[in-house]
Amino acid sequence: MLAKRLENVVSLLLPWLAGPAMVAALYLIFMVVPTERDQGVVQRIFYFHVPSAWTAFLGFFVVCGASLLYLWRGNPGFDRIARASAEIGMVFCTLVLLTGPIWARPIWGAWWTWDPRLTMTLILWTIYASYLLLRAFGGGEDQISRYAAVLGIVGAIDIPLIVVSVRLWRGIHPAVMMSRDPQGGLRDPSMRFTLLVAAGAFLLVYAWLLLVRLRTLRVADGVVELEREMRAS
Amino acid sequence: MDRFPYLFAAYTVVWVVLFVYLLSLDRRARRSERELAAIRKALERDPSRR
Repeated sequence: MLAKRLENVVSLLLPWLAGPAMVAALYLIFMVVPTERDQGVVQRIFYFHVPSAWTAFLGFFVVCGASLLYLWRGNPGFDRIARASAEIGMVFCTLVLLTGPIWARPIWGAWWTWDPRLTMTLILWTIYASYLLLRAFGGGEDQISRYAAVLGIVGAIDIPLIVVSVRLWRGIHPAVMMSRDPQGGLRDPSMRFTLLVAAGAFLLVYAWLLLVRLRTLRVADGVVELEREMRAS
Repeated sequence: MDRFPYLFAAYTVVWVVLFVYLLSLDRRARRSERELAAIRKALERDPSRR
């Protein structure tokens, strides 16, 4: 009961936090942050690309955690969290794979290269695409939920590999956040601040979407349960 | 560079449209949840189902 009340309060607050946060992020990205010296205007896509990646990773980590809890406790609520988070994680992961090439074309001269980080991110996308296909076409049985949970857990192993791939396999993808170069990374404080605000805004949008999707999944499960009860009576 | 305000405006318009759409989805989902709870309650009160 307390959890339900808390969820209601949070879900009422989230839109009014996410909306202004995103406008503030857009204002900082286009009106405040300086244009990067070497890359020019196209570098601003970084403030969409990186928060999208972080949010996608968070979404898939939530899938992993909720799936573990589902396998352990068998509570369908955890299964719903995993499913909702996978869908939203996929939206943000797709944004990563779309904004990356838009930046890469003018900077690298190619839309795509088989760089380790890019390849691992594409693999992550395909793993969770398979997860969603399994959920969409596998039916609503408990067995499918358990298979999906295992896939959701295994898929998240790819995320730490993506993070370390630039160092480990010496790819060409920039390591802005992990840069040891004193001349590299985000030198201007407003760049770091803008990135944090954009990440916060994306996080709030993720949380809001998660709650909306959870509500629709709960209603769908409730209808199925009701149908089952009516057929039985 | 002097056209950044237009870019900011364009992104903001897209976000506001998306925001309003999400808000309407949120409200509809909430209404569906309430309706489902009301149906369940009505069925529980139905004497023919006891």
